[in-house]
Amino acid sequence: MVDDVFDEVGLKVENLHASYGAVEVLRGLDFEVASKGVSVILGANGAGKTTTLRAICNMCSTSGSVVLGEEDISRAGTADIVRKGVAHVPQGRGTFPELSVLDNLMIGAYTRKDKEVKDDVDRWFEIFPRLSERSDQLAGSLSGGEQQMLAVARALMCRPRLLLLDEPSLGLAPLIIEDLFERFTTLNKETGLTMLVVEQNANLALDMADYGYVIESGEITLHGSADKLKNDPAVQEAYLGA
Amino acid sequence: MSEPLVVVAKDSAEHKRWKYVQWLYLAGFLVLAPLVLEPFEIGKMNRALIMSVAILAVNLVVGFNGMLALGHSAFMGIGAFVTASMVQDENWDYWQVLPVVLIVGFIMGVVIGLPALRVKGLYLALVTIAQAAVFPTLVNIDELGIAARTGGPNGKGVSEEVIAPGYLEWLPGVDGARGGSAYRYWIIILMLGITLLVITNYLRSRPGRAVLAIRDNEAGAAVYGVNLPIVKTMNFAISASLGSLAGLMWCLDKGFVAGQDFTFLLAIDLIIGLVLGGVGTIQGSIVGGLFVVWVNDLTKRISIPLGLYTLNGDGPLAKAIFGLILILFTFFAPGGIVSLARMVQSKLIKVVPLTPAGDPIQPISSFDPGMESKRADSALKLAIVPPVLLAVGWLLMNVDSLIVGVFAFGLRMTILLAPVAMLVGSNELKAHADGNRADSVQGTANMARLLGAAGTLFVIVYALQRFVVNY
Amino acid sequence: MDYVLLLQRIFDALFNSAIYSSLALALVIIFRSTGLLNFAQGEMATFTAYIAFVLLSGPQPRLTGGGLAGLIPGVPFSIPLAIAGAVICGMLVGAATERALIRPLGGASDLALVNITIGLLLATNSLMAQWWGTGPRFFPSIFPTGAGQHFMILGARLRYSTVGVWAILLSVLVLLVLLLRHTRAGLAFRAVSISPSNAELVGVRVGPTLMYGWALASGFGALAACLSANSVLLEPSMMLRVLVYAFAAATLGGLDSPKGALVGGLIIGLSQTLIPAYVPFIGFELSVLPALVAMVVILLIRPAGLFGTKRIERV
Ligand SMILES: Nc1ncnc2c1ncn2[C@@H]1O[C@H](COP(=O)(O)OP(=O)(O)OP(=O)(O)O)[C@@H](O)[C@H]1O
Ligand SMILES: [Mg+2]
Repeated sequence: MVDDVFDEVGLKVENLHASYGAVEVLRGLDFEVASKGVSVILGANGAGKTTTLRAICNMCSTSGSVVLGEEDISRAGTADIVRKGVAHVPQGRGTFPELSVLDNLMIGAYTRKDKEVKDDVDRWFEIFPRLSERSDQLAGSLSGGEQQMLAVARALMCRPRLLLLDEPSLGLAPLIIEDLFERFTTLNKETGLTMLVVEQNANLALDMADYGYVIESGEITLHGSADKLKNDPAVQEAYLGA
Repeated sequence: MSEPLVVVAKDSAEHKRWKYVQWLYLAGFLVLAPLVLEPFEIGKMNRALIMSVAILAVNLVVGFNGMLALGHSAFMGIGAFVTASMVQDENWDYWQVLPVVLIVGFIMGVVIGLPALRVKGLYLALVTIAQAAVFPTLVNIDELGIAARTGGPNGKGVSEEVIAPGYLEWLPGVDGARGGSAYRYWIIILMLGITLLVITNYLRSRPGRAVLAIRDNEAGAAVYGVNLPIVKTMNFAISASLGSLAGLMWCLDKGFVAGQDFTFLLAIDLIIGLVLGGVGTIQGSIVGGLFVVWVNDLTKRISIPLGLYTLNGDGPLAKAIFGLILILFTFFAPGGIVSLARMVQSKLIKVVPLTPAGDPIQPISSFDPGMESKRADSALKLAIVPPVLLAVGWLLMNVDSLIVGVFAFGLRMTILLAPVAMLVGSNELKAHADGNRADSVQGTANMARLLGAAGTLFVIVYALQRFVVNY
Repeated sequence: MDYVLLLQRIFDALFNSAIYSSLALALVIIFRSTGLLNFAQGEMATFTAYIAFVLLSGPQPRLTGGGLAGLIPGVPFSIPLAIAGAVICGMLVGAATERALIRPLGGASDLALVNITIGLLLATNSLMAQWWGTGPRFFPSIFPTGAGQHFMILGARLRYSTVGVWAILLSVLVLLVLLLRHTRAGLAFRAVSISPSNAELVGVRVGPTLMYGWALASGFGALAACLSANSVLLEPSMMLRVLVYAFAAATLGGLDSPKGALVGGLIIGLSQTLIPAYVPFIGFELSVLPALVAMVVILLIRPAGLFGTKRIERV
């Protein structure tokens, strides 16, 4: 059991189990993301990081409690969880290859009813000019990095309260990665967007995050503030390449 | 029966013995059928086995190659019309037509497969269903002498019935009233047997494995250097050739072919047989053929006494029931009857696989239930149930042979389980003699052995008697 | 060449073309919104045409089959009202089918889908034969059809019913394109057909969306059946043959393109009438062949059809 380390809880997960068929992949995870905070999940390939994010969105068979703010969302359907303000950028992007870039952004705002959707699209086109140049192109014909940008922009189009990012840096050039993470940080500072990030680039992720968890074989083996993890010899050896 | 009645190591002597028993069942079924069944029922059996060959053809494409090609009724039609025309107009023998039909089918397969296989999934299903739907109208075309060859809307009859030559009259059932259909039964069995041999070997060959690889992962297969268009088209052509063979058998058996016999309803029957039997298994195709014809027949028969609407004896209820069966199987038994049968079989006999060194991965003795064994009880049940079913089958047959004929035959065939009861009974007695069983087991096991032996004896005597009656 | 006769033939072919186009359009709607194909589309449509027929004829057990007589309201409906009833019924049937038979499959293989819809085709067809018999029945036309009910254009007769059917077809097409291209719901349909799991992740409730797609398509199929029942005569298998042409039309135009369904239906309908008339060695029996050959050729060159979008395969 992780103690309540934060005053205010953005996301609180208790005893989360998840399985694919008969194979149990998550074996009772407990973790939290502070409201307006950024937490990071580290772990080896196949440790269950992606599954954790999927389990939060109820995309695989799960048990345990997932509380968003005050509300238990562990029984809600995926679409309803998204409607409650959780945006998920899945590993492998989750864009719609046969829709245009613009339509991908528009569908990202599917849950919104306000009039500012157009402004948001313009804002994202400003941030990612490459997308703006290709707004009528089919998403499937974008380069890998451009698709990743689109995936992030698409997720943020729904103005989420909680953003789940699964390896956002995958396939991006180092410069773009730094830029992207800077934007995440700004977003977090300015709008107070709560974030849970899975990332192989542990250095960058821990710089941005205020708390971190290490998963091994579906269990949390280590957790602590970002600074503490950065200085932890085990973490340094395994994830920071020190 | 929670524990299997028999546990054997793979390829051990005992495993082989059980395999022989299975083959014996099959042989018993095949030999008894023409002896026991009425002539018109043998005719149905023939239809069923011909359907089996056609379903196997569909299976080759759909089940083993993963391509949704559903229009094989057209290939059957081609084979049937080529046969009818050659035999009737040119006075060829059936065996002379055979290679022609195979080659024509193959060529048609290439001609249709080459463009059709470029499209995938549901598109292919569409194109091939269209192919099945147009075929019956094509045989009516007046130009190019087609209608003259096919008989157009009137169909084409072969005036000479296929009957046994004198030197083959020793075949079981080939004599007296059931002569013609029983002889054709044996021809069909022979062709089916050869087909099975060829297809199993084909699937084990290099091209056959490529076919399976494409089904499992098309992109992956391409990466490993499988030439997709060639392998797919060849497989489709072989399947078409096989479908045409089924058409030849159809003509041989029925002596009459017409465009209306090869509509897309036949194509649907083939799909139903495929799903019912088990997609992607050879046994499934055989079972599927039998069931499609039998269920069709059965529903027709109950439609009449229940006052349900029928047209040309083809009750709409039959189609409704097929529709229902198709939906139910898709939901509850996607593996078809074969997978259900395997489930039952696994309750009876467990085969323990071997390690690379050749030993069972778990010692056979560790499966022995010891003093608590309930095997004798199960064996006794197995010895009692089939005779009861036999009696029920007999009664049903006598009450109204129209309604239940073939179904009752199926019930009666369960008597072939008697040897299993007998063998398990004696196994248990042996275990008791070795001191591995409680004394209470002895009586039950004795009883099971006795009843099982009686059932076995009955089967043998019955078969002998039918032989005597027939010769 | 007799141009008046040619024009007359074209006008006559236009009616059938409209029927093919509308059923093709129903197929396209389902494919576009769900990525699936419904082989029972024609049968479900015929069923609703029978419903309209029952509504039109009022409580006459002889016509309606004993079992259904009790369900029928006392007064016969007017034609437009009966068709509206059929369309509503079609939408309910479509929605129920999706909910009860398609959704529980949970996106299983294509073969499973084919099985379910073919099973539905067989069951619906035979139940209709059981209830209403297989004899053809007269179904009134919503448009005036008597002698003299036509426009004269350059000496050829263009029947009012042809114009009427096309007017309805085109307006539905326009509405449909507007729906798919320019509304939130249309975007959701397209997203779901591309990737249901990603659609869930943007907050689209996939199940209900698919259900609306099926309802829409079945409602449209019902309309197509009611409009064509007058000319092809109402009987349980009336849409079976039409369905093959509609399949061909949809494949030709591209399964995911409403515009393609329209053009495909036109090509099939026109070639069916014109080719036997002008190509000497092709009789009426062979009339479908050119259309099917055209379909195969187009699939060879453009596997996605004339107007279809090519699927982008991700590696
Ligand atoms: N759809 C699935 N079906 C069966 N097993 C799965 C499935 N998805 C993941 N797994 C298994 O679950 C385990 C955890 O997978 P997961 O994708 O969560 O790992 P991960 O930590 O995200 O790894 P990576 O860093 O490689 O993305 C793995 O062993 C994987 O094989
Ligand atoms: Mg992962």
